[in-house]
Amino acid sequence: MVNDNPILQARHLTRSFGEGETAAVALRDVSLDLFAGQVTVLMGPSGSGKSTLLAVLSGLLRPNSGQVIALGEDLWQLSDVERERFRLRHCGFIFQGYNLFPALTAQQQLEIVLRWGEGMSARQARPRAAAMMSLLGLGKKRHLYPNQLSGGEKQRVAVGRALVKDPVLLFADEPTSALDWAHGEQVVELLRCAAHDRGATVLMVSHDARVVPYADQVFHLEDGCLVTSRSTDQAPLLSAS
Amino acid sequence: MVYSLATLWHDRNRFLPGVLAVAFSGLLIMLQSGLLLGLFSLTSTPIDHAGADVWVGHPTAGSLELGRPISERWVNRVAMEPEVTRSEAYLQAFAVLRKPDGGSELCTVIGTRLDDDALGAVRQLTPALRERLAEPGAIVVDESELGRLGLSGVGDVAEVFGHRVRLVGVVQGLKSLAAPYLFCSLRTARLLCEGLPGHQTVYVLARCRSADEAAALAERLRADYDVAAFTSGEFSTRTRLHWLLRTKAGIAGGWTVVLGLIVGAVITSQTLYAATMASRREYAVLRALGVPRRRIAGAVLAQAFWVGGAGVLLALPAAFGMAELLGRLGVHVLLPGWILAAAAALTLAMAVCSGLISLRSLRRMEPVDLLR
Repeated sequence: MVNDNPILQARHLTRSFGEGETAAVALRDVSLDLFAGQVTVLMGPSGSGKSTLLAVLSGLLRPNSGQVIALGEDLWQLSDVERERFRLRHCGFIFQGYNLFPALTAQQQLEIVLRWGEGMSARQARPRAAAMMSLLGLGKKRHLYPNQLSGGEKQRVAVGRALVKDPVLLFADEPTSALDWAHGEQVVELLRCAAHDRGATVLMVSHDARVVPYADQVFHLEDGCLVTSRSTDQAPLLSAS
Repeated sequence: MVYSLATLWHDRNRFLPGVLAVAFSGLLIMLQSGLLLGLFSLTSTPIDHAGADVWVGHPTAGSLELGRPISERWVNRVAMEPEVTRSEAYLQAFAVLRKPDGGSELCTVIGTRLDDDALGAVRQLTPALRERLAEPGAIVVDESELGRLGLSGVGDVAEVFGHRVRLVGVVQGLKSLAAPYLFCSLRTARLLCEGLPGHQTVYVLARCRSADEAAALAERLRADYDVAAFTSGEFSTRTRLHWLLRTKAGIAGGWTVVLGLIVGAVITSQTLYAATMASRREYAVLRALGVPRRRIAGAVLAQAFWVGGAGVLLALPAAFGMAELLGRLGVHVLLPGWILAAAAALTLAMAVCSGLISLRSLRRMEPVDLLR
């Protein structure tokens, strides 16, 4: 599934918070490439700028300078509405917390994305959400509410919510941090399948070294700088500044 | 809608204050309107309980008590209209009644014909009462007004402008708003209405071949002559509206409704705001996934609609219960379907507006906040 052409290119990204002497620089001239069908892991200590980089690459946080080209679109040249449409069409997100609606069943958490996001009817959304639940191994639990699910199951529902619209780009921020490794490994395996079987480009922020064997390439970030990178296969790699 | 309802039910304790606030507003609107309607329906009871199809009076008579003398020749003139089968005089004037034990009370003297087909005599006047009213100086009053008039029962005597009047019977359901009605014959009324010149009447009442012809007759009389002419329904409504506006009670009632709406809107919007803020992380995930803000706003407004619907459902039986209770205490509350429908619509609109106000919470919901 690996393609030589990057799906996402980031060039000379900088981002700081605050102004003047109190400004904190989160990203310093970061450039990297992400490829279809690959899992990329972004590692680094707390406060190194990992989440900021993920936010900038995914169109959630505007950089101070630099460029993000995703699927041929200059993400930060698009209007807010266009960027929202881009995320709707192409992006999936998994966050550290599960963030599931307590009033909705596991399957409804997926349906809501299809119905509100893609404008599907209930008749169209239900089978698609049910199929994803089965794929996640939650077919029998799809009618349960979040408080009836374990942490691992909740995070799998969150993964399903990100995958149900079949995104090309999948961004995951510390998706295993709240789980024991047995459950965390299941989630990482799901992300690996999304990349290798479905051709998605997966960028995962993590500080857990146990996810590294599942990655196709790994970036290390320190003080906002991309300091090292490693490819676990022979895919073309980044330029790190 | 399904997701909004599911959320509403799941977080019912959180939404309960909003539902109760809406119910309070709805109840207040319904009861306040019903009380005003009930109160001012008293002003038109002589019209509502009489048998006339059309009321003809002085051009300035926009309300029952505003009638001024017109020539009695109008009785014949109206009778000559092709659709009219009967016309008759109707006397009405304010008078001061001197109570048997001293003191006085402003009253409304209403003098009508007393035969079986009389158009002005209220239905509560039974043939036996009418027979007794034929006696000069005989009057009938509503039972609830006896104390106000200083009368204890049938046979009591009082004075109106120096003329002796005798109570020959009482009726029910004809209580007045301001000046108690003294029902009597035309002959007695002429005696008691001192300012009324002879050969004059205050209203001319007409009955048509068919009640459907009343509106056209009234319209033609207004167009052809310098008179006020209304169907009994129109005249009743005009009389109530006149009192509603003249006494400013309508404005006072309106303000009560506005205050109820404001209280309801504040509590409901705060409830919805808190509920939306509690789900802000979940909504932020949807925003990250590209779900447009308007879809999330739609969900909040749907919740507001259901909160409003639940509040109205609570308010309706409460309003009927309160009206029944007040009725037993002698306070007349009218709750016609249109008042309930209007109050329900206004309350629902208030709830949806509260939802719009609570949408400010969505501005505090950015997906990037999930990455900290």
